[in-house]
Amino acid sequence: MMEVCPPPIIAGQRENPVAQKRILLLSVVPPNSRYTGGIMLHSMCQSLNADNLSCFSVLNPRMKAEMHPDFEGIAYKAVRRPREANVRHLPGRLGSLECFFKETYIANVTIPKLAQQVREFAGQTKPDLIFCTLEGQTMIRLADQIQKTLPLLMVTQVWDPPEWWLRSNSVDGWSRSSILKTFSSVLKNSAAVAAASPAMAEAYSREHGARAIAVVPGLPRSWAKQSATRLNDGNNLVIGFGGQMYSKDEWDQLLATLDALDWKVEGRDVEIIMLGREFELEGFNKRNIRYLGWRDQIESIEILSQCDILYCPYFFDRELESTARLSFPSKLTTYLAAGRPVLLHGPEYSSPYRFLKENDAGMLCHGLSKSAIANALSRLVYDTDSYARLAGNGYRAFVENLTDEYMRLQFLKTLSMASDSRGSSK
Amino acid sequence: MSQFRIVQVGATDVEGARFNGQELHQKLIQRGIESSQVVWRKRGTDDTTYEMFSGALRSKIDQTAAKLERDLSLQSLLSPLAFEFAKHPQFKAADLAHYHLIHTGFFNLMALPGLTQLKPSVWTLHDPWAMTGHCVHPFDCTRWKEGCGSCPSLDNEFSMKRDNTRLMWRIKQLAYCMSDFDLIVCSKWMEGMVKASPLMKKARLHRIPLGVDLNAFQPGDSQAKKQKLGVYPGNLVVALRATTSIYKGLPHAIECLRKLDTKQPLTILTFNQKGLFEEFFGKYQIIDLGWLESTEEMIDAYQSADIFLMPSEGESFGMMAVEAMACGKPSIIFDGTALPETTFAPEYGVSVRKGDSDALAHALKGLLENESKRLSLGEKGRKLAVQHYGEKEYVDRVIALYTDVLARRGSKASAGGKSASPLA
Repeated sequence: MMEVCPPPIIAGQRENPVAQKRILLLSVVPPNSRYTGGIMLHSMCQSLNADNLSCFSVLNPRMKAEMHPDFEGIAYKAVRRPREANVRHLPGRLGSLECFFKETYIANVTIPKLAQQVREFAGQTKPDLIFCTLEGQTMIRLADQIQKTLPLLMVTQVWDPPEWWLRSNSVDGWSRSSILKTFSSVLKNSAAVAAASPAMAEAYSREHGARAIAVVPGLPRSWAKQSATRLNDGNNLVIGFGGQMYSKDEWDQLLATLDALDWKVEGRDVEIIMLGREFELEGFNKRNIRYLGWRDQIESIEILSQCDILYCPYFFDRELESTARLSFPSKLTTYLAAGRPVLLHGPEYSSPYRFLKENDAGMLCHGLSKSAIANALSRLVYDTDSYARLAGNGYRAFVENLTDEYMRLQFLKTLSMASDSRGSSK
Repeated sequence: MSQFRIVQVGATDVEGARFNGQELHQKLIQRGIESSQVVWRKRGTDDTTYEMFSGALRSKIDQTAAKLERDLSLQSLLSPLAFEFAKHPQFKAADLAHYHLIHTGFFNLMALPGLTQLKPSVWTLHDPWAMTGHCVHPFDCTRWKEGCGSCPSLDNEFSMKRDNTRLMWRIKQLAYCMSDFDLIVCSKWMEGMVKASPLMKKARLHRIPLGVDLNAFQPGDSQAKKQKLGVYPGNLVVALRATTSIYKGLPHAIECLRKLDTKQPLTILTFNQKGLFEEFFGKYQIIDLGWLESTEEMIDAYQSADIFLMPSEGESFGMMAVEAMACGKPSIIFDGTALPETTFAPEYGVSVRKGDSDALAHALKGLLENESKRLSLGEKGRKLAVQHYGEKEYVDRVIALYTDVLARRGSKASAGGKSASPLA
């Protein structure tokens, strides 16, 4: 087993004066154990006093997000989120115009109504500050309205740059430009910003004048598996994949490579194990892929720890460059906790690539070609020293940067920064 | 040493630092010489490198001029901003201006007479574009010796929609005729071209081969570097630059690898563009390093290589072959360019007939199967690099040229009653 560094000492989080503040969570999902955002929110909120919390969720009607039992007693209101994906019924520019009118209506009619509801809720719960997650155009616009009409400090959290969201929801160019301007203004007017990665914190401080700190999704240290020192015995090579499948091009290229290799790497038969929900299953039966469905995180880590390699694809598409640069895939945290080497398949400028490179904690594949993928897979099989080193460094990187303790510490730092900003403004 | 102030002029700073004057600029500063660099587009963070102009208006003018040049089939003629360079503080403060790659779209050839009259000027030619009607390398075409026109290869870089090559040739002739500069070329091959060019009759010509940092580029632990780059154990490594540039011979490299008949497990290690050798997936291991930002990465690549393949069809010097030499790796090259001279073929470089991929494959197979030959060529290469391509000697020679040029212009200026240069 690898020698590991001691855990960071983070004690008395709830005794922190910031943790005693009355905080209104304004989010797309309440703290829960089902969705990535909700899990993260739940974990962060554990450092706060539940008696001082309230939550206003603007929920996607398709989501079945219930409040986590830990926070069942808090003041909670959930409202329906307006549809953010744009289905265009008209072709070309007319379709853009249709989308523009819809977005304009939401911005000028729906959002003010939502903002009024938030103000009324805040009037009842009397928070000291608002913690708002900026996911999607609704939350960006809502945060802007609240900042302008409520004399409260606001701390904002960004999981993904909005460019990605607006693109994947087919928002027209005029609305997109206006939303991005609003986003910039919200960041600037936030007392502090919890960014998804160090790269995002750096970029938003520089580009928007935000006071940003990286708050990367974390998991309990106790869930982590000791790092493996070698591949599993036997004649198989098991590649694990968990979480959302957003990097489809990269995934397809992995499958194409394995097809070209006849699903054999260095003499081992390759098998893929997939965990998660909502995969496109077409064609899977032709390949050596086992789909295990959604599992909770502890079970996911357990299953992934029994694989040989954990595959983490990230966007090469230049149109998604800002997302690749600034976001941080939460699956990477889970993978590193599983104690097996991560194969990061993404561009050199992407934030997970940089993180793993800095920590020498993953096999890095920065090409989309079959050769690049095959080289990386092969190396993890034949280069036993690298296998053990990367798994060990991955575990260390998890303990040092990606535990929930560390995340909560960063979260409290963000809240403290917001409180300080009030002090300094006075 | 007498002190003088130099401004290096190029298209950009970081990318192609050896050819844009950035590396030379840094070496001059290390020698205690006041040097600055002025570039069209600054990408790096060096405090002594300046952008020629900045702002939105610059971009607008730039784009408009570039579009007009494309539409009218003209080159480096319509940007009005190059004339403004005379007012740049770094230009004004300098005793001598050293021009590098000024043909990449930002410059105006007609600014050259004025600028070279204002300041003593040195111009390094890294390729033959200055002597042709449009192309960077004329290959076997000889029309550049006769005034161009009726161009047989308008599509070659820098391409033209209409054949204005004769006009461009005449404009160059006029611009050079009214200018006063010293030319640097890096090889006898280029020297021969300049001497054969009717455009450069007035030019004062100096041959100064580029140098490399022989302490950085040197033989190293090949096995360790192979492991670092993920070369399969036991494989021999053929390194090459992968680019679709018509000058670098990509089709010949591909054809050579198709024809190569060897049982030796092989890794093709490429730098620059990715994915160009993917057809060999399954036959050879392909490692695409992509664009290498740092010298260290380049050195890793050379040191891990067993053979450097450089089938360029247009090469005015061949810096990469020199770097491979300095790292003690044998190179296989084509004749008909500067490469046989630069690599001292056949003493070190293995030169085959230009365009002959069979000969290339044969030479590659020969070296793959003969370890002692690879090693002895590598050793010779290192020795030759030490003898001929030291960076210190290169910088010494450039400084000596600056001194001569300034002395000459200084005495001319004194004779004309103008203020003398600091060296006069």
